[in-house]
Parts: sequence; structure tokens; C-alpha cells
Amino acid sequence: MSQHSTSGTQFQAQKFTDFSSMKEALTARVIDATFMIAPLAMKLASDGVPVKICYLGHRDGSALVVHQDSDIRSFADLKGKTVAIPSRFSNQNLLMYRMMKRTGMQPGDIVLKEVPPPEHPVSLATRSVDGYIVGEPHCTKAEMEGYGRVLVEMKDLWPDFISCVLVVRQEVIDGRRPLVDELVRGIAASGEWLDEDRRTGARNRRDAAVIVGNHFYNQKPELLERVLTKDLDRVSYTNLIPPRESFEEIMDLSIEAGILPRRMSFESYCDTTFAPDLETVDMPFDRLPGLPDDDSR
Amino acid sequence: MKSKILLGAVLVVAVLFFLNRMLNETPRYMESSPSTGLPASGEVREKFIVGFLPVT
Repeated sequence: MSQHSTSGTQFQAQKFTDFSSMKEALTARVIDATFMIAPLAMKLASDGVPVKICYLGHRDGSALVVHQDSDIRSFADLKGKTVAIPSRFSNQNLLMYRMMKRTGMQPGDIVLKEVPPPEHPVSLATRSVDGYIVGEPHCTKAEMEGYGRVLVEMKDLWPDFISCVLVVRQEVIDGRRPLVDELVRGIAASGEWLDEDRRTGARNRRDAAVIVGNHFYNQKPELLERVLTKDLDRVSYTNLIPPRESFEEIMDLSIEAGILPRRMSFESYCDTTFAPDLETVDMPFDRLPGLPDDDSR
Repeated sequence: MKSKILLGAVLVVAVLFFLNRMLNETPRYMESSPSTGLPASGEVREKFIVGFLPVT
């Protein structure tokens, strides 16, 4: 994005290992914007922190994973077990709440344990939890390493599942609007690029796996390639304008589950004015720079 | 003996706390990565920092 920035802006990505530190960095104005789990962003807004959700990070891309040799075969089998969640303020937690209710369980029938996402696979491997529910690549990691089995993907329980959203400080929205616009257009263009050839070879997704694995996630590109290409619908990067009806649903569930104290208007925590028409965005190159030739991979 | 174990545990927790804090306060982007490259003009007029966790 920086190399093609029309405003001469250098966009820097800062990696965090847990959501609490990220939240602190955002409120302390160390970072301008961040990708954060949706209910946590809504909680910040509810607490009076001046931030807005401006775009979604992706759709789907989460799963419930259990141990490979576990006798858990359905959601109901989780009764009495311990499941790791990324945060109380996550849609993964809300989904557990909703599924427990649907299957006639009482609060506490499944013990939900907050664990930072990168630690989910090791928690399962060491059997400190019986399962975990989190975003990729941590689900595929347990599958690839042989100790995990996907019990159910979120897209099958909550279609078009929303997990991480782009949250921007209000001060930045007010004072540096063209940069936020450039950022959101860049995210939209990247998503369009990732999804445009997924049914025809998915070269863009394989390229992204190399760059993201080596430069951002510090994870094996093979793992990310498997996440992005084994099941092409496991995660998608289009349809990212924050939908009012989905956020109303998240709000209702959050209030019912007791993680948000009161109802807020959609406009008080969402600003969809940056979301571009996908017809008007395009990546300014065909291949990401710094990649080996296609045939050599 | 118990007090030594307790002291050791307190030290480990303190070290982990400050390590976690230091790692999260240090921008860990790579200078060579595409998103931190220089704008085409070669001149950086603005900087914009976006946080992320390595998870979808």
C-alpha cells in the first residue's frame, strides 16, 4: 500500500500477541487503527472510547477444533468439557453462548476459558483444554500437526461469520480522513484480489501465503497456503461492508450474554462511509513483489 | 524451600509480564515488507500504524 500511496503515506503493520495489549495501544493512541474482534470494538465504543468500525477484515475463517482422538462428535458432546475462546468479547464466545442455548445447555455446562489465539493449538496439544474456537490459521495448524480435528466450521453454524473488523480512532477519522479512505480502499482491493481467482487456480492466495507468512505472521507459508486454498470457502475477503442487520444481531446476543450493558445505535460505533464500491477498486499490480516464479513452487 | 519457589515464581511472572509488554510495544514489521516500503515518490509525508493479531 505504501509503495502505491497517492498521499505519500507509509502504512505500517504492528503485530500484537493478545487483544488486551492491542486495546491499550489503541486507546493510548500508539496506533491509528487496528483489526480487532467485533464485540470488543463495540465494548470500547460502549465504554466511551472514541472509535468506529469502518470495515470488516474478512468473513468466516473460524472453526471449533477438538483433539484428534477425542470422542467429541457433535456440539452436544462438549457438555462438561473445557473450550478455549479468544476473548469474552468475541463472536466465537457469542456463538458458543447461542449454541449452548439451542442445545438446551445451561451457562457453565461448557467451561469457556479465555486464551490468546496464538496459544490455542498448544493448549489443545497439552490437553489443558478439550477444544478451542478461534480464527485461522490456528485451526488448520492443529490439523496439519496431527493432534487436532475440526468439529465444525463457523460458516456452517453462523453463515457469513464476522470475526475481526477494522477499528479506527475517531480523531483519525476526523483529522486524517483521506488516509482512512486510502486504507479502506486498499483493504477492499486486497480482498477483491484474494478472492478473484480462488476458483481458477488461486495463485493470488498462494502468493499472499508466502508474503504474509514470511513478513507478517511469522508462520510457515505452507500452513497459510493450506488455510487459503484447501477449502476455498473456509475464509473469504469480499462482502466486507459492515452490515447493520448482522451488527444488530451481535448487539442483541451481547446484551443477552451480559457482555454489553446497553443497546447502542449502529451509527454510534460504525462508520460505513469509507466502504468503497468494489467496482471502483483494483490492485495496482498483477503479482506481489519479491516472489519466486510460479513454476518453482 | 517454599519461599524460594515462591520467589522464583514471582520472578518468572514479572519477567514474562515485562517481556510481553516490551514485545507488544515494539513495532515488529519488517522494513523489507511491501506494506512498509516507501511511497513511490521516495518521500514519506505521513505514517499510519495499523495493528493486527496473526489470526483471521
